[in-house]
Amino acid sequence: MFCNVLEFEAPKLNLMQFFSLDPISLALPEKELHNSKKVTLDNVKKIMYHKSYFNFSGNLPQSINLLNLYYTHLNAFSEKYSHLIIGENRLSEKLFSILLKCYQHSFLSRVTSRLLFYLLMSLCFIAQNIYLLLHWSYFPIVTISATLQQIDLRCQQIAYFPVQYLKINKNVTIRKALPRFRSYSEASASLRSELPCKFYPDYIRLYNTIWLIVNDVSFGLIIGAILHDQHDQLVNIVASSIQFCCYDSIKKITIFLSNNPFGIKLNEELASFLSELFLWIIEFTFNGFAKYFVDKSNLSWFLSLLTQIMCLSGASFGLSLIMDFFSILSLHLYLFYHISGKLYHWQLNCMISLFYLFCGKKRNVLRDRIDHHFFELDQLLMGTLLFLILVFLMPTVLAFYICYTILRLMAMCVEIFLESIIGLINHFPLFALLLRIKDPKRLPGGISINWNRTEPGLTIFTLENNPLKISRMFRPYSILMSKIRYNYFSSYTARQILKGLPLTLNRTKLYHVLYFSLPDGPIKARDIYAKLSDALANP
Amino acid sequence: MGLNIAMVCDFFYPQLGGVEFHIYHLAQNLIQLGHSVVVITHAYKDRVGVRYLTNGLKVYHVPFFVLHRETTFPSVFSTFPIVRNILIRENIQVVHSHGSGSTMAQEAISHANTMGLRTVFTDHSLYGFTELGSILLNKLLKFTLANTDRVICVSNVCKENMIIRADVDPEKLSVIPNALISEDFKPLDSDIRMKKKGRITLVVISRLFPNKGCDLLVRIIPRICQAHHDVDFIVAGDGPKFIDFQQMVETCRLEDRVRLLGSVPHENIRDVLCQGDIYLHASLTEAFGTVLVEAASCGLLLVTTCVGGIPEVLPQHMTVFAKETSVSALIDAANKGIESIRSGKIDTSSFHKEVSRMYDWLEVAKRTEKVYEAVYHDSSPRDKNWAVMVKNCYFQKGDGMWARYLYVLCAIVEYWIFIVLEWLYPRTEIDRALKWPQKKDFQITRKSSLKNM
Amino acid sequence: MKEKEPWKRLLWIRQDYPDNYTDPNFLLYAEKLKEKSKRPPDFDYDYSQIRADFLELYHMVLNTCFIYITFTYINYYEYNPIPVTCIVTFFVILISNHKSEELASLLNFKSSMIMAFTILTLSPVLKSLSKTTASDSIWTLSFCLNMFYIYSLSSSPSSVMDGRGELIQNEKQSNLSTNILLANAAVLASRLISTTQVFCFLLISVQVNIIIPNLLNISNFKISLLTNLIVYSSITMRLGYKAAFIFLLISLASIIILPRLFYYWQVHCKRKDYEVLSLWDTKVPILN
Repeated sequence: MFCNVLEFEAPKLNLMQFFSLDPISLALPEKELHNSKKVTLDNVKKIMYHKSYFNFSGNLPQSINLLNLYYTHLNAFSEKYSHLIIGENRLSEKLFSILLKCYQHSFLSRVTSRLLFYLLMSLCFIAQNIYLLLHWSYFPIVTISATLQQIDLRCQQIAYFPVQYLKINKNVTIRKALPRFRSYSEASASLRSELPCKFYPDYIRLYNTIWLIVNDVSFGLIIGAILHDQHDQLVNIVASSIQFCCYDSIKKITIFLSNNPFGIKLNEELASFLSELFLWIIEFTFNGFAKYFVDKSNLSWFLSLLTQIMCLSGASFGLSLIMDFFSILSLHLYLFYHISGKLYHWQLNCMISLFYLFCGKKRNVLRDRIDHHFFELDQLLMGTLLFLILVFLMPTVLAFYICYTILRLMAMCVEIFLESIIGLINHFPLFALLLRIKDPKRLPGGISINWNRTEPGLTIFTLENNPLKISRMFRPYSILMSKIRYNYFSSYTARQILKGLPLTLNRTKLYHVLYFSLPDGPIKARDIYAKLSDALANP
Repeated sequence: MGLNIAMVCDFFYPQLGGVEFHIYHLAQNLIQLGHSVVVITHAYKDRVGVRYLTNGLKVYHVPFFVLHRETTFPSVFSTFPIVRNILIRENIQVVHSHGSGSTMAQEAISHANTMGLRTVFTDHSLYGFTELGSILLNKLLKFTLANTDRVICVSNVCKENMIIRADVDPEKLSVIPNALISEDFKPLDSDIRMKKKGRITLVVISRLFPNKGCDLLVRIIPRICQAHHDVDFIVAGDGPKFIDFQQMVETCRLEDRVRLLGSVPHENIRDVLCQGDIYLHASLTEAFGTVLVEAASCGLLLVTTCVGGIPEVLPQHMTVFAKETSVSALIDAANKGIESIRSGKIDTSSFHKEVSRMYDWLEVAKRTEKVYEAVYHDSSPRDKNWAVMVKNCYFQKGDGMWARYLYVLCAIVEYWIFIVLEWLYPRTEIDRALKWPQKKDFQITRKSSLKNM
Repeated sequence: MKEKEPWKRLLWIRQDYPDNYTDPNFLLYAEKLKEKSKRPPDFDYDYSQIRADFLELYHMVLNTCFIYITFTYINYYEYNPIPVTCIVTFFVILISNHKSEELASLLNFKSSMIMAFTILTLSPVLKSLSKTTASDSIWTLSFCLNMFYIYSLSSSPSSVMDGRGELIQNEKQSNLSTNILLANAAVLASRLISTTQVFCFLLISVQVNIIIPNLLNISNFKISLLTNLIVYSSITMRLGYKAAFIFLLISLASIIILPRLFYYWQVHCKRKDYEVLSLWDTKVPILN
């Protein structure tokens, strides 16, 4: 008779080890990313529903759950039939548990917990109100500034801490109450619904956030110290580079464009008009606000402010301040790009419709197609003359448009670079990575059954945990990167530029992928209060 | 024992059309006759690699670069390695290519010739002599067909066209028409007819390209609508001329009398046909005209131009021919058709039975089988001697010096590549594919069919 | 054994002949075809029609010459264009009043006003349009547009502007050729110095090249004579006798020798079996 034996190393639930069929999710369950195509899914479904694949048994998840509860069952067993167990509890462990119980029932503990509770609730309340202010539905100001976005992120995190705590804590109490169950079946029945792997991801997410905040502050301290040391030199360098990059060179380019650049003959009148317009905008922005930024005493003040903020609230705040500063300084580039883009877009559209007229065709808006149409002589004359004028003016507009688009793209590159650094500081899966190194069993990414050895009449397999793949941990980043690449470095971009359509992307929407450990909306402070006080009342 | 046959064509499932259906049905019926058939075509989107269709019809979707309208990039030699591998892997004895518009088919023929295999070519369309495109195609065809063992044409017109185009020996040319599955094109039962009472519906089903006579149709439809108040139109199909139809409907205000269906999937064509009484066909060139047979099988009277192979396809009593490809002639023919339907002079209910007796895929497969047998019957080992083949290329009638030199050069390069491939990837190292097991009842059909022959 | 039924050229009946049976009649026919390609054809081309076509083309070219004549008149000699414009406009109004009913659709009062004001408004813009562009590129552009115009005119049927009927293709063609002509005039106009010149030049071009050919038959003997006279005298004035002589030679060649050559080519050099081979060509739809 042959027999197969499956060996496994029992997962220590108190060390948060467990087996899982599906890879553990670092993101919130509602934010799990489904980026697989629908077509393939349909095909897979067809196969799955085919008769020959239909005997998929539901036993495996149940068995895995039983394996996970190995020690729990062992404990339950030893509690009930303690006379059968030879081993004894260690003294220190007993002592510790007694002390803990004493503390829990003392007056001191109640006062501290109450105090902590009120402190936490007020913080939470403030954070939520700031969040609501930033996300005012008429004008969500969070979209304009990186600093505000950073504040928003911190607020969301603070507001979510109690919820996470509750989730974890609730599970902990249930786990402790386990020995009270009278029978084995009762215990397992209740456990089946509350599997341990449900709260572990929350645990990982909470500690990841806390670690990141601590990390952020420490980075901030380092950078702040460096900034403080190099203060005077930096002020000089920044002032001159801003003056050169954002004003002098752009002025030069604009003047250059009006004087037949590279020997390309542009229309003189239009070119001089456009260059005058843009020069006026440069002057206006410079005199309006940029002058004060470039001023050395102001710059020095800004730099010291930056140093303070970096030291106090972390590198991410400092970097987002820098980014906002940069976007204010490059405001005129943004304007140039949009003005020239709009001009180009209108002209292109007019030219396309007039070209249809030139060929004796007409666009039928109602049916969305191109009809043949017979035009009268006056229509033809007007259309052709306008078309010709537009054709002759096209190179001029195109030259300005291309120039400013390139400048805008360069500015965008800087912004993307800064933003990705901020994103890394805020959302790096640091805790998970360290866990992966320290104890891969705590991050299960599925199971594998391997052949171990064969003894007479017996084949022995080992059940092993596949740790979570690193690429899966960085999934949100790869998605973000592909989104950025699609928006700024792809054929889509080229097409968009060619059509003269704007290349803007809602920053909040883009970086939303990285908010994988935060819920979409805030959870009401009142609910948190009620739940927390509940939890406090019956520990 | 049956033959191992490879059908090569650019056009195959998932694309649908006349050539595609021809290959599919022919292959199915050849499998029924006990042969083993594989189809080689290019990859369609994610359909790459080997697929099996009904009865173990194996389809190789080779990932070639598709140039224009599902035709692969003409590269003459670059397809040789993989085609050779497939032909050896499947133990192919006969390579049967379809369609002169398909680059892959033509290239496969020359590869197979170089490898010393028997080759058969089927042409499905007519080509003129005045357009630049068809002149180039004719030159290419001359090179390909110089060493092809047998050529099959779908109609007599097509055959004569081929004789003149490619200077093929008439003895090597067989005429085997297309067929249809008549069960799929049954007319509706008379008691559940969907037709409006007292009205006559004319159906047009065609891809709306200029060579399908769309310019004629656009002018005919308003005039017929004006002349007869009890006539409606259904136009099925899509193409560049669709806009002209839309404009015609709008300018003549015929929205309630002309229905433009756009493209209709093949399985629904019968339902469209059954809504009509007359099928109107204004094509300017046609090799066979399968849709005419389908329409007749559904019990429709045919009003058609008299071009290409159309007069050969169906008997006189089912059709009303227009004398020339002009608006007035077609209108006269349509009037005649409408008149005879209105007066009940013509009984179209017998058409289905008659057509089902005329055309059958099994019959086509048997006739094709005879062609394969003939290839073996009067072949000599000298045929596939490469020196002889090069000589055939050189002594092409009616071609200029440069064309002939080019042919010979191509043939020599082809042979060199063959030698290099034999050395690089020897035959012995190529795995042979297992054949799909033959079902027993197929064998029985095979025997009975042999008895019938 | 009974007599075999004769072979029929039909696919729908099963015949007692092998599949590779070839119609002996066709083989004979193919034989004949080969012989035929060596003999001169037994059909005749209409020479007078060819000559008429060439003459029409010549008149069209002469008509387009007027653009350049007007341009030289204004740009090179720097004459005052206003009197000429007045004369031409008066002339056009005269003829159009004479044939008013034909013109109802083409040139009513409103559209002529619109045209005049369009030209008037856009003239200053046109004037400054290509200031920085080299003259040579303008001449090249104008030449290309002119060639394209003649091509589009000659490839469309002679009824250039009068087809408001059902012929969609013709309409397309007519619009295109008119547009090219206008584009050519506008490109040239952008070289002129003053707004008045631009306005007058455009007005004259539109009237002479678009409106007059629709009102009058330019192949008419009197008009043709006048056109020839103006064109040749202006060429002589501007480029000298030699150029005029060369132009004359070319035009004579295109009227007299080219049709002959074309006819000869059709008779002797063209593939003789064309008519037979076209049996398999896509039929031309007759849209009557």
